[in-house]
Amino acid sequence: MKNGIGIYLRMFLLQGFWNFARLQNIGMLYIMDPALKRIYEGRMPVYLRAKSRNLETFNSHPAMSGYSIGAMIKQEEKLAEKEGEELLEEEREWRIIRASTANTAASIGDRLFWATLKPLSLVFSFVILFVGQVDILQEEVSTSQSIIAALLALAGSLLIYNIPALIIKFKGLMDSYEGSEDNFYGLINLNWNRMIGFLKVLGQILVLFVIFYAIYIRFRKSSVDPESIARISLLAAFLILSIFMRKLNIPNIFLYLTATIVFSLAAFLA
Amino acid sequence: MMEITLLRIDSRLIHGQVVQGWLPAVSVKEVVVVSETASSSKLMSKMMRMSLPQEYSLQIFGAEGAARYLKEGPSQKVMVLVEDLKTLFKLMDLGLEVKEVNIGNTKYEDGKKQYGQGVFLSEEEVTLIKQRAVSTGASFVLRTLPTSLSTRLF
Amino acid sequence: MAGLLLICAVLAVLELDTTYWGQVLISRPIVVGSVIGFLSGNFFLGLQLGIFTELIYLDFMPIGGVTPPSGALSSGIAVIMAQYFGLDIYFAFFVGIIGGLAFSFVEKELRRLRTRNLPQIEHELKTNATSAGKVILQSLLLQLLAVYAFLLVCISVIGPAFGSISAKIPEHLHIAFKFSYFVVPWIGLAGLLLSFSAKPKSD
Repeated sequence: MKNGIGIYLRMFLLQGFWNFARLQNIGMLYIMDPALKRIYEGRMPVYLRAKSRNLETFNSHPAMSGYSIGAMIKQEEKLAEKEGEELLEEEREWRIIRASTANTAASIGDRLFWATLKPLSLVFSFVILFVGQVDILQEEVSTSQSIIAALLALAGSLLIYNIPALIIKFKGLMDSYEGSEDNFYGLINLNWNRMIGFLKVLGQILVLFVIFYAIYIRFRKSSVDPESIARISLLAAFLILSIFMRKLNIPNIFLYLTATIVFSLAAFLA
Repeated sequence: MMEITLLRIDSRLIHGQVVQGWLPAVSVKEVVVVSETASSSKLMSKMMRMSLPQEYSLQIFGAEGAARYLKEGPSQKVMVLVEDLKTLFKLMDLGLEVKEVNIGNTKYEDGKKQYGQGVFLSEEEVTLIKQRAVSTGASFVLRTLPTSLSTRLF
Repeated sequence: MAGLLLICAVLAVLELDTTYWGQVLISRPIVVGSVIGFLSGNFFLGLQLGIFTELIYLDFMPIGGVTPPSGALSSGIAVIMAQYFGLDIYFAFFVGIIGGLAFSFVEKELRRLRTRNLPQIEHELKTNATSAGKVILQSLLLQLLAVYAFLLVCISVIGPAFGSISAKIPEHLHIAFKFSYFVVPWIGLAGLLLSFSAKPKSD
């Protein structure tokens, strides 16, 4: 692919003009424009037609969009050689490839990046903080804790997400450019379901460790008195309530706000 | 007859909002996609299968095939994704009973008015929806995700 | 005051990463909280507010173009409220959450504005009257200014208002807000556990 790095860098602005109507269309045109200028050099009318085409609705996951962008550059190269009825036919195919690759990549990306890697990177941060004995859950924030562990936790929260995201972004661009319908424009080069499944199991194990360790460090110094029992009961109640709220599709932020109001009322009445 | 847990109009068919938002929230193991474009395109069908987690089965039909399948298919709960309003009305004309339609996403065209986050409707479409709501008793709601508020259109 | 204005500028730039530039997660609350905490003189306070905010925001995912509240602004505002306006951490967290929710309305309006302008911009792009890069740059600048203006309201109106009443807040409200702040990580950790299980429910 010509100017692959330049196109890759432009991909970071895919959502630069996000709008409700055609979502990432302006960002997509921005990414495609250097390729369009190269492909249609000296052919202004067809270049403008290509620009119009590339302004149609586009929506994908930022880290996975390469799986559509590479394929679309390849399609433009094919379109440049067509005219008349053949061009119309190829444009129909172009629309199908664009929608299919973008939606499939988005669906995989939402599951892999937003729903798995992002929370997993947060869990890793917790693990690093606990290993470094940074007690981030204590009510009085202590400033005399390990700054190194805290910085490593921050780095972990960024790297665990970004290393795969940045690699897949580039790999998607290259694989889909070289790909075809037979290999789903490079999407079958990785076993996404297995990857997501593995990361989810890893996440479950680590988050269970985090929960139990957090309970341990939070209450290790507490004696068995009514106040400690009340606190642990309250904590357990909110753990269960949180799960229940999730089943009702109510975001946890509203559980927190409701708890604040209920506690305030209770405090007034007590 | 199959039990439709969620019937959603979504021009993007299977994508993140459906897979990550709706599927974990509804009790289904099968997704039925109703789209003339997808049912006639091998590539779209293959890619759609790839978009969906392995645990879910997928059926892709045009309106006629979908109406038949939903009436005569195995007795189980399904999520139905319909490409656009035109296809939905065709399904209804073919005798599919609908209680509630979730309008999740429609294609934007110049002159259409925005009703929800990704929902754009022309005046003519709004009139047609209203007529359907009155004649069939079906309710039409706007709801992007299970965690979003539901707004009744008609 | 100059320091605070600069911190707001940093926060506005970080917020852009949520949607418009990068998506490399420098806008995630744990990062924003820590950065703003460091700049305002208490790194660990920022880290805690960032982690708590991130835990409570787990349910919100920017899938398919939904407009979630801003976790970046929630954590940033919370740190500012604690460090510059003397709010106790549990009150600061609450104000941050409300700030993030409030900004989602501003964000929706900005997205609507871009949507309204889209036909004209598309026309200009189709006729080569402008370039996509220029359109994006202008849009980013507008977004940045809007976030900054929102933060200016927070530090010139909301912060001083809360700051002036913080000493007069009755003791029982302190207990209530402290209690609900105490349960935040546990609510969040349960959510975190659930986020790793997405199997279909049985019939």
